[in-house]
Amino acid sequence: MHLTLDQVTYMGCAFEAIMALILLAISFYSYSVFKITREKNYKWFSASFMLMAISFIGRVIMEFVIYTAPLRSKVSDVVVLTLKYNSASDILWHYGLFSYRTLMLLGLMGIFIILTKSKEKKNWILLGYLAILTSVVSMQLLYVFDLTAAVILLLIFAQFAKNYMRRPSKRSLGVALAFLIIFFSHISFIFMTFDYSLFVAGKIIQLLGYLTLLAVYVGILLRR
Amino acid sequence: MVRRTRLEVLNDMLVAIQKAGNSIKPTHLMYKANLSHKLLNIYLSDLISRQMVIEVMVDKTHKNIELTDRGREFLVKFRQIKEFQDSFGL
Repeated sequence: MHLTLDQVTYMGCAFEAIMALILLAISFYSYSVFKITREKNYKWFSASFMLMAISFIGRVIMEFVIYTAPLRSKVSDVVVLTLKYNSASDILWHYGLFSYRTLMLLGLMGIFIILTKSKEKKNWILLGYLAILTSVVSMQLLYVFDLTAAVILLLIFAQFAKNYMRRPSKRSLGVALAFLIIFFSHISFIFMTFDYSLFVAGKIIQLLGYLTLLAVYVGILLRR
Repeated sequence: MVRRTRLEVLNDMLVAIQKAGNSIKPTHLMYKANLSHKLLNIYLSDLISRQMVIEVMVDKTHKNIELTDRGREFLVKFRQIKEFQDSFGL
């Protein structure tokens, strides 16, 4: 099967929208738990998932606006106007990608901080700074973002694996596996510059990871 | 021995009432939920204000504590929260 760039983009948008919905659902649930228990880690857990959800929503909107802009296909009609719009698209693309990467990294780092129960505020500031720095650097070196995300995801997986050892259950295993799958998707994205089909594979793996997370969430809600 | 959270104590009380067939004497509830008389009164007023249990007079001097639908809903919600907590290691 041969996919065009447009098909890949729309597939990516659809996948990202689904992933955003899954993250939103977990974020809202975690916040509802916070409202009942008043334990702050649920609030921060909710905020981290919300950041990740917003990063996907922003990316979907950005890609949708850029790829559905009618002037993009009218390059030969009005050259000046097209150039103007293309530069606007480029700005949107750069800011959009920067926001997506920063919010995603902040969300992942937030989850890592909650799981490691780090109370030191200086660590949070340092990690926040590193998230922004990574996003800035990855505007030039694409793989830096995916590499950093993969490292954090591996650390999160290690924490969830430890949790599974302590409380073995299908659901704690599901959560650990979900983050391991998402880790592999970012590994795939690192090498997409060599072969674009790795981007498609990465997107499918990423969706699989988030669907695993959804299965765990639905399982919890079905508990009676 | 780990100290129970307020939510865990409320859950233990509701579970005790449910196990006793949805109606229990206050003294029995005190023993079943491992509470002192003072703490029982504090948590019981909390449950009554949240409409999770009601006090029903059995005769002129004795009353029973009965589980309401809201109490039963809380038990389900608590089990889900516990599952969420254990699954994500929170």
